[in-house]
Amino acid sequence: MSYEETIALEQVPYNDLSPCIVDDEEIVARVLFSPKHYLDGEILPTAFREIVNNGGMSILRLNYSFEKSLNKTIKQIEKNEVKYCGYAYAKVADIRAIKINSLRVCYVLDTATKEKLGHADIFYIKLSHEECGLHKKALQLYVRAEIAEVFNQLIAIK
Amino acid sequence: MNYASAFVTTFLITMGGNCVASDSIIKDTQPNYSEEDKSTISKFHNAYQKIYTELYSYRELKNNWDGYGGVRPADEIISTTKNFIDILKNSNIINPKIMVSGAGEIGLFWKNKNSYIEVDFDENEYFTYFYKIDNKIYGEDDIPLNQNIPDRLLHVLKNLQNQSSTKNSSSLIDYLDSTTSNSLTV
Repeated sequence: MSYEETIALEQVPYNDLSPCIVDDEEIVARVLFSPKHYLDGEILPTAFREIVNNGGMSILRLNYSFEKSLNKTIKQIEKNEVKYCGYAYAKVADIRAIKINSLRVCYVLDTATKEKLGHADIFYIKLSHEECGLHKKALQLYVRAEIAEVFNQLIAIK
Repeated sequence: MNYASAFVTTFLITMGGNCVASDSIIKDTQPNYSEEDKSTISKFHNAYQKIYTELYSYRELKNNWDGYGGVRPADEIISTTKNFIDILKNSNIINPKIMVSGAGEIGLFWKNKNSYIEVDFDENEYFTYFYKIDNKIYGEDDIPLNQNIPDRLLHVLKNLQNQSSTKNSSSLIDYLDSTTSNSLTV
């Protein structure tokens, strides 16, 4: 899939469950379960390592059944004896504005599920060295550092 | 005393037991340490000690420690990171912050208003780094770890260190402009 085709995915509802495509003005949250992921009040880039996974990084949309989806997520994860720490949130426009060499490095899709209508994912765009000037690993570090910067603008550790 | 001279002093103290020349210098200079100097040296050592403590704490991480299927870093990654931290400390580089990912990678980073530098360990004896300084981006994958920090990385670290005391990045910007023809701007 080309870069343009990838970005165009944001303009089409991901599935029938989706309330709507994700708007630039929306706020999305990333739920955190480890104190190792924040330091001195800042969320660390390593909290966002899933962004470079093929399956994307789960986030929740604040406008769509957020409390219900959050509680569901906490319940699912805490089953495994991991404690909920809070969530970091960011404006979608800021996520979409992350670029390198004038190219976007990620896109946001409305990956709603039956249990979490407000579920979404941030996917990483695998740019080539020719396109972005960085090789794979350095690009991944760049992407997660930039994502952390965006999510750090508004933090809510409950 | 600025950071640089404090760190030189620290280095001489560290090397003192094995170096006759350093011994003589220490004898000449030691009585002149001000309380501020001693405090700076002590802070430098304490900051590094905290990093080692945090690094070793990663050995205790359980499976799924981050709630997203996270794994603990392999012993080899911890060891490689430790060796790199030793080099930083022995090179009198200002201490980084340390972090761990659910993929078992360990990262070291330095950050201020206009600069972000990260070194990441995900393989035995290799590291990857990138920096973003005044919107200029550069990075390299899979550098073999030896006793030297790559010149380019060392240069940006030294400049970041200088910024900490002078708040002036003009020399770094000049350097980047003159040497990073293949670096990128966001």
